[in-house]
Amino acid sequence: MPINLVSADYAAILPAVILIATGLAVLIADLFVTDDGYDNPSSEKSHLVWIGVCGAALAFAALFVPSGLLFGAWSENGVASGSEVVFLGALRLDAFGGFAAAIIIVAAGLTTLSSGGYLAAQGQNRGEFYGLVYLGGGAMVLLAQATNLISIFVAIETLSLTVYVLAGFFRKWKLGAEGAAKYFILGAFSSGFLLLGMAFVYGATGEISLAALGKSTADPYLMNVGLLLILVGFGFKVGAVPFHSWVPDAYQGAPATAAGWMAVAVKVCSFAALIRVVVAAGQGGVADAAIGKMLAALAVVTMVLGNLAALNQTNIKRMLAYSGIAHSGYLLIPVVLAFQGTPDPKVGAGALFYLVAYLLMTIGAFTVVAMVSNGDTDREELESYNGLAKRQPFVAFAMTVSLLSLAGMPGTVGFLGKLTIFKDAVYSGPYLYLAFVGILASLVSVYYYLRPIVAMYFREEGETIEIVENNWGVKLTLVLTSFGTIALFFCGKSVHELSVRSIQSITG
Amino acid sequence: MEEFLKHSLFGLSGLLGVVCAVLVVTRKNPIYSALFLIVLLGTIAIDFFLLQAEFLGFMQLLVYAGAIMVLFLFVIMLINPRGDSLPDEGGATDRWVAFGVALLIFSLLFTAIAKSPRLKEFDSFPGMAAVPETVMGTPARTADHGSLTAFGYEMFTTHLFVFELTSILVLSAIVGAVHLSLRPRRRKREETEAALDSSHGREEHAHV
Repeated sequence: MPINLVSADYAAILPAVILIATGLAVLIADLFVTDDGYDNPSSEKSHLVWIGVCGAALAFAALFVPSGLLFGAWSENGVASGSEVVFLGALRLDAFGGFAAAIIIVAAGLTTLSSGGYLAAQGQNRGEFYGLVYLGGGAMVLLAQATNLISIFVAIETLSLTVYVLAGFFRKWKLGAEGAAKYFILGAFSSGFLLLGMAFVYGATGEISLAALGKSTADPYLMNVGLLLILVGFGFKVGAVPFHSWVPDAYQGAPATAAGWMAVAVKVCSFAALIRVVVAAGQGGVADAAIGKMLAALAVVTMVLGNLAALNQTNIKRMLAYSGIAHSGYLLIPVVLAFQGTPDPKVGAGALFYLVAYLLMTIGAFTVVAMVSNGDTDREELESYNGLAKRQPFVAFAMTVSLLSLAGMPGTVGFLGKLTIFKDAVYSGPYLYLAFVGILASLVSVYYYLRPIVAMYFREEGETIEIVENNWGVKLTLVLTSFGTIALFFCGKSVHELSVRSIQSITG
Repeated sequence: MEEFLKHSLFGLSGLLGVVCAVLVVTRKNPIYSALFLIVLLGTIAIDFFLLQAEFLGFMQLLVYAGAIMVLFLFVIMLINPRGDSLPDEGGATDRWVAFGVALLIFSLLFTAIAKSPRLKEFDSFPGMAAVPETVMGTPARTADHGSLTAFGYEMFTTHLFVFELTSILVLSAIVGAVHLSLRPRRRKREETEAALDSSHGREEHAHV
């Protein structure tokens, strides 16, 4: 069987290839910096940041070329683009993958922009950081497009390897080594579940394509156990309770900007793949209804425990980590609805739209953490934020916008995101209680999101802390995220419509 | 007769595998654990051979039982842990919880296989019968199924894209490993000398 690549094949992998090429370009460009301290690279290396940002911009543009991933959904009004299976079923060219890819690419660009000054202040500004972000980013984009079990697994392994290293990127930090080791071991453990589940599904159906999940099989029990194991594997990746124990340690030990990248990009691609899996499984009717109930239970436990555990955290990174767990819980609601397979084909759209909101507010919050801590672990405690508004009014404002958006306050895109998800749950009927639990959980969350805001605006500065390092890239990131968080509240409609058209490319 | 031999070989390798798996977990000395793991991987290779997946069987022996386990043993011997220097394992409660979770997963997997309607079809040893007739529309049950030729053919046609993706995986792993293991340049010589000194000291200690 000779392989003839057609234009769809190239169009499908173009964004990922550009990201991977950017990663290689950054790694090579880093070699030409010779006057930098070898042990303590503390120059800003803005040319690496520029290569990265340009690569991200190119990859983003590649989504919109004719026959590109998002071209159809973007240009044809309300009509989902024709989607195609490419590379003999390994990937699919559709708007759903394109939408997730867009979020990942923007996250890569913002992470690069905010990291230069922060890593330089730490004396750890090595090109490997950006290289790993872009190599991992390419794998994440491919995971969002993957439609067979093998390509899903290889993409997950590739991106996981890069984030394990990023989690322990500051080798001088003991916490970094601890967090990265925990993340690595639990990640490998969860990959085992994923792989065993895939083997069971293959055993039951004899096929590796995701579509096989929906086909009737002689062995439905084996198939359901396989599906359950796959979901456990994804549960680890998105940090859902009870598979969340690695999240706080990994985020706390990681460089702050890398923690933002891990939180956003890994969630985006894992949820994209998860939604593909549950849509395929839910449409066929072979999957047991009990799995839907288990997913719903997972969502409830994750929302409740994530928010409760965040309440008494004094370290801002751990607080944001538990907040990330809670947000995985909210994001599981559309997954449950997509599995249930309601007649409404756009229920999963809430997840895509919420991920856009999550991108802006989380990257914003972690960038402020990077600025305030300036690489010093002691300054990641809540007390370090006392009186920040007086010293750095703009940074405090950006942090406030991000935190209010994470809490889901009106006026920010976080509100719209929560509204979309809860509205879908209310209309779904049997899963009405998920919306109820979600609203209660977000009410609880307001308390811990307000604590840093109170500290910044109403507390006096205890000890004189050095003014945080200022850097153009960090400032630009904060301007973009806080502007986006507020602007999308007022004109988020077009993004929401695009997300609806995107989800229809896999459900409709 | 051939069927009987295959069944008894499978039974023996299965029994040996289970015993070794238990020993891997229960041995206190990591060297013994690693050695039992080698035997365990060998028994899995036997299962691959019985299923007529010769290539996978050889890879299992070469890559896992060979390369990876030698690396394991090297690392263990370099660290050279003594029984009393190992940290305490979790208390009784931890063990019971772990046992409970393991039992739960085992029963789930066991019933998944025991409830399979295919189990009844396997009066004779599965071998070829376990392979579906077609995979993605192409015949999979070819005469040379499990051979290197069939494996390579699949890898470079159907799964070409994923095969290429693994190069990015390996590259990321190398970049990450270099970053995490690179030592500061200035102190490198001193550290090497210090490491040599301490290893000499250990040898002398062992002689005494």
